Amino acid sequence: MHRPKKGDRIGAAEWLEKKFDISPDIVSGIRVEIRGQERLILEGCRKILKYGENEMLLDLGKTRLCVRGQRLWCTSFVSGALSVGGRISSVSFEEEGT
Amino acid sequence: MNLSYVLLGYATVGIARAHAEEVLNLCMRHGIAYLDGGSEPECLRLCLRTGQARRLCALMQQSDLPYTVIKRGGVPQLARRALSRPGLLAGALCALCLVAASECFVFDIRVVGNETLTDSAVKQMLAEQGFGPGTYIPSVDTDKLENRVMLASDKIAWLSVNIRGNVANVELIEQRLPDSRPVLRPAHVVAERSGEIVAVELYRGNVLVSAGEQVKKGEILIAGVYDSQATGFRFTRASGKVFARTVREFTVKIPYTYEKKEYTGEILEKKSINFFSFSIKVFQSTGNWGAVCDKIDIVDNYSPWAGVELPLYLHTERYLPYTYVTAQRDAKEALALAHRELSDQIAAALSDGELLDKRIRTEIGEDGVTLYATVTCITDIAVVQDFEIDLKNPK
Repeated sequence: MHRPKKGDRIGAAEWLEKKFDISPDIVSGIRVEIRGQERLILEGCRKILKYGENEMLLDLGKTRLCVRGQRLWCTSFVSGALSVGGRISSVSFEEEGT
Repeated sequence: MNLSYVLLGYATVGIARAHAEEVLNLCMRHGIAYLDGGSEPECLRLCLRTGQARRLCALMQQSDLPYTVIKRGGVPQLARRALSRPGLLAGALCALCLVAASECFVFDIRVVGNETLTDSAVKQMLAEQGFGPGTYIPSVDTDKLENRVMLASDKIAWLSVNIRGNVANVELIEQRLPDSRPVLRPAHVVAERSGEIVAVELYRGNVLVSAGEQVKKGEILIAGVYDSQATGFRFTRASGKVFARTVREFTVKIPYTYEKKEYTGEILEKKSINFFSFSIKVFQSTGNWGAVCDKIDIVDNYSPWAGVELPLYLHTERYLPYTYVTAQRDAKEALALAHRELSDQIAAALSDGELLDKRIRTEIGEDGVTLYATVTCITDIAVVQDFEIDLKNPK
């Protein structure tokens, strides 16, 4: 039986997700929703790492979400659900250490 | 603004943007919900419910994070402010008590159905029976009130009082009989002046004249006595109208010199606030109160909404002092005035009659103008005249 190399190994959650075709947001608990250019809703945020008017860095556990734009403002942050208002220009995922 | 924030109270907390992520992470960790309080580039403003604001402030103090409470608002805050002003609270309580108590008192009386009687006359009749604005509604027996008013006044045939809320609706029908006085004493109808009878309109009694007959002043026209062979004399109060062709003289004299009323130009006022039947004097202007004055009463009712009248009135008594000064008029002016005066006199005298002929003679003297008018007309010359009965010897 072919055994995957150490670097190619996937976690149990990812395996389950692929095996049973489960929606990734249910397994990871991370869900990002963008409504127009003025509102971003994020579920599964653990912490705000950086809070700036032009950039926000949000800790999602294994990864980080970087929201860039103008007049950015965190309108609510309750139970891991975060809402960002302002003029959003880009949303990117960044691995830790980048 | 969320309604729950207003009802439960809220506070706006200001935080420097440099500490924003720490504060927001604190909020998330401790489940503190907030709304945007109108943030600025350098300052983050969080709008929180009072309890949660208190918790966040305590947490920020523990973490040595600087903050400022910018604003507190909502119903609890308003109530706290009101409680710190006992006068305001007492006023609000008094207002509530007044509103509750006011439902038991008559605020306004509305009169309908009156034709010759004025509203104020009807209200005066009711007031004489102890009913008016400010009367305690549970103590009013409308049936008794209606009966008392009808007994006290011979001008009202029927009256109904309906109280709805604070308004008493008074509906009435006026007495319309030509002579509503009770027949207490026998009377004849006699001629007020001499003339030729044209027609007789009999209500009661024994007619003694007929059309075409000449009568003299004081002559009996309708007798209050019936003579019968079977029952003897019977007495009644004769009543009726007797129209006769009469000749009447009118004289009007208008002098050139007369006394004219001249206002001094001063206006004196007294103002009082009337609440139900209570009156409080609030203002009296200074001036010559001893002078002869014309008086004008102005009553302004306070009406907060159309159709709703409160028993709160501003009563203004305005006095206009005047003096009499001697003035002159020319012959033309005097003549015009004399004609006007003569027309008024004739119209008043022949209000229920018919004018047949009018002859006017003008006399312009040194001191004034005199008009002599001879008027031929058909008028009612009947006048009731009581007579005494000798009961010991009726015949």
